[in-house]
Amino acid sequence: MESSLIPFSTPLPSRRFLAIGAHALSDKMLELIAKLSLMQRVTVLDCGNRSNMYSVAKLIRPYTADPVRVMCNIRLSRAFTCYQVLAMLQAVAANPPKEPLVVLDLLATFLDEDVELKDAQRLLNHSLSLLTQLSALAPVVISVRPIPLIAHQRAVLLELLKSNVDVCWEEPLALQTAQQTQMPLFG
Amino acid sequence: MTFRGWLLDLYLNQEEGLTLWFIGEDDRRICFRQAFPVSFYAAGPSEQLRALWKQVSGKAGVLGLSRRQKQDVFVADPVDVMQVDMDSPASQVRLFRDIEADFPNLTYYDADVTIGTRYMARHGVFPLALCELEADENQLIQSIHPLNTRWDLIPDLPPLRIFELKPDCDPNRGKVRSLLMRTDRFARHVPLDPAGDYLRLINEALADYDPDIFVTDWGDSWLIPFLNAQSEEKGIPLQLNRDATRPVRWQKETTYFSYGHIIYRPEEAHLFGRCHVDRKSSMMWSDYSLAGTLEMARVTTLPIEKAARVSPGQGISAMQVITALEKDVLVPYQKRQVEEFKSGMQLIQSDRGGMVYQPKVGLHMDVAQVDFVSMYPAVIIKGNISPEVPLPDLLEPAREELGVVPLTLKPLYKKRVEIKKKIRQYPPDHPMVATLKERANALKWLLVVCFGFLGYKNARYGRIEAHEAVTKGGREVLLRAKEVAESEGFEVLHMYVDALWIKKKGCSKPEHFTDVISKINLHTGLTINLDGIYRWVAFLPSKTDTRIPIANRYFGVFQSGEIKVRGLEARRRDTPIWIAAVQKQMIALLGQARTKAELSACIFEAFSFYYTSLQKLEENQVPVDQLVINGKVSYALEAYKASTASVRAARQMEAAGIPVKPGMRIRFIYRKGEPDVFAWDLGKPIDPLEVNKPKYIELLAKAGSAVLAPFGISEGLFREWSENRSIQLKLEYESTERAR
Repeated sequence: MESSLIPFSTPLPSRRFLAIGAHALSDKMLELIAKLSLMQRVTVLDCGNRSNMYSVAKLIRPYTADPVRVMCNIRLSRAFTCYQVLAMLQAVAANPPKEPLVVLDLLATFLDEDVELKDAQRLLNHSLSLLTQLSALAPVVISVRPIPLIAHQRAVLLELLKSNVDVCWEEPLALQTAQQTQMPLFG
Repeated sequence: MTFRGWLLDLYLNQEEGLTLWFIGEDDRRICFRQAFPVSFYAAGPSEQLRALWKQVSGKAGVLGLSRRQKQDVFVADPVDVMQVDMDSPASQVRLFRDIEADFPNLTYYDADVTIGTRYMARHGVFPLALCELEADENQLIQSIHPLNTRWDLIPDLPPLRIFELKPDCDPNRGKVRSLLMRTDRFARHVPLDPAGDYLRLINEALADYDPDIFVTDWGDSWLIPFLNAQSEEKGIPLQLNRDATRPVRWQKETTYFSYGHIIYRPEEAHLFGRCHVDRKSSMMWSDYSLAGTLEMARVTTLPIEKAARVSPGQGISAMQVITALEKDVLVPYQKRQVEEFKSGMQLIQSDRGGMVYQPKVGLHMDVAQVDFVSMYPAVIIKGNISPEVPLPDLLEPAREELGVVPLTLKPLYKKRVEIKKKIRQYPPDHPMVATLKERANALKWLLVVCFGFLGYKNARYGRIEAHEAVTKGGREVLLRAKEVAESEGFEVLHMYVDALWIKKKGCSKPEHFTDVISKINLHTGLTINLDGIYRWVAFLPSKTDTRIPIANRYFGVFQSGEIKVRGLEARRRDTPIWIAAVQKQMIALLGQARTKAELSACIFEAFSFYYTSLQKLEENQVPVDQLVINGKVSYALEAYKASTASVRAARQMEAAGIPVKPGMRIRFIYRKGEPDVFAWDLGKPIDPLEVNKPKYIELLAKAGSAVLAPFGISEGLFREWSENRSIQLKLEYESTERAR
């Protein structure tokens, strides 16, 4: 596992980290989860259906004789709406972990057009205050993808998030474009 | 007065609460009104509830406030809630809009339940239910009760008056010159004359015939907007509604994500007192037509206009809400239930789909396909899988009392099974069969989506663990079935989620499979049916690596002569209809073979047909409209970095001033030179000589080679032959058998 692929070097201090990139940097985040799980417990909050545990299992396999034990170091829950994101964070904050917390694709559900922007802002504000509270005890790493054009009016949510973290890393644009290439069906 | 009739339409009014239109047993169409007080609930910290109480006390429409204990489906013990009683649904909507903004952190229940659903839960009355009611001299309903149920197998339905109106051509493609009006009494072409006499004619026909169902083509996107605009411009009145006090109600256009597809739904025109069904906006029309739409409306309680247009998911959602209301369980407004924490290992073990056993590539004779009847709904019912019920141990339920989801599905499942039994009682050409099949299809779709809905983010009664438990149950069932089949000496050629393909030497008649089917039924507790016995079936390999089998990519012919195709070009929506037709015909020609010995001749016939088709294409004999590719754009055009053919065609439309929305179908033709595509809906003609023939030859070769692949002809080879005929193809089944 090449640590250079992970934007934040481990061990992580108890701060709030934000990584922005195409596909919410899923591959890099899964590498980070794999690396952390080899050493300690890690809590994963998946807000964008990004927790491909098969990838993590593959990543850890060369480094351990007991992959099942390592996979059990990962504790995760998935949210599919922004209401669930908040509820999930409230549940975590009620019993805060002392080990790192990784939040995958935090903003995905906040871009849902069925949720009014003001509601999304209120829920995100509440979620961010919980993440701040959690970061006092353990590092919190958040990944997001750039706001897509179709949801440009929600760019304010990313700005709000950026202003509520300690360290922000953005994937260079050239890399993002390379990852988004789509194979056409016809022609 | 006492009145008996069928409920046709129900909507809100600002005065009494509800307006209801009935078709009387005496064939009169009568409008009644009814007071309909409703309640909703709020839960949360006491200080916030106190503030809410203070704010809403004495507000317009509030009948009363009280403190109650009610059951939240996701919480073990009853929760303390504040009950707000309102005088009408309209006041409830207004008040809730305000308090939701002022108290966003409270948890609300029963706040957005549709009026049809509430009405059903309270009075047991649903669209097209035969009812008996008591009303006063002002037509205000005092009491009402249904005389039949949603689950009647052959319901007593009203004699509906259906009025059809459609343009003489696709308005996106050409200039409409006349409209066709048709009822059971008359059919008439009405020219669109500049003076607007057609508006008078339509208006008179509507007033005279007084239809219940107004069926159109492109009614939402073109016809009704056009008629309304013309009526206004020419000053000629046009009354589309039966309720003359109302204008047409427009529901906004929308784009949404459903089962892996982005879907665009244009604006919808809704009528009052009668129902507008636009066949072009009705997503399931081709599957279940009007009989299925009415069945959908009856069982789901969705208004007929909505049942025709929305996905079955909304129907299932409405049915679950009725079950909850009938059980006096709260209906959550926003779902906040989260997934319980799992380890990475547990996620790998639980987050799996249906069981797939890769097929044995090639052509197989005398194969039986056995399918579980609505497997996932059956697993949900058998395992009592519901968000509020502890998860089952494989198929063994954790408790007896059914939860909201299985309780909703059980009568639906039973009704479909009964309708299918009924179909088998009639000869295939009996007039009842088509209607019963359409109704069974509508119910099938409801059953199909109920499983997906358990895992859907916005499903009120969804829970990801329950969704996973269903696939787990399904995998278990299929494995048990495989074990039984193998212990009975059958070879399992393929398994796909809820179906098995099995064969055994000497077994080629239905009675040869009776025993194994009974044993599978016994060992799984679920019903499995013989779908049919194939004379032969061909499982196809991957296009990129012929050693790799592809699940659900096969074709074959049943002993009845019926052809079954899955995963081929003919099944894809974007395939030009001519290419799909050529592929289907090739399979039909192969399907004539009853034995291995007959196959060689049939292969040659199929190939000859392909060759003739290829020649037609080369000689410009294929009508251009049959070469249209039915593409799609899933995002706003500016979001595309790679330009696909659909996107290039969509950009042409946008440049011509035609708005393009995510999820819209984009039809186009491949043309020679630049631009390389021609957007079909620009409405301009295209010269057949401009068609990019090599591209269509490539697509045709792809479709043709899929059919001939089991006989040893690869796509590359076939394409090469199609392009320049410089090689010789070997078309013999026996030779490929030897080679294998």
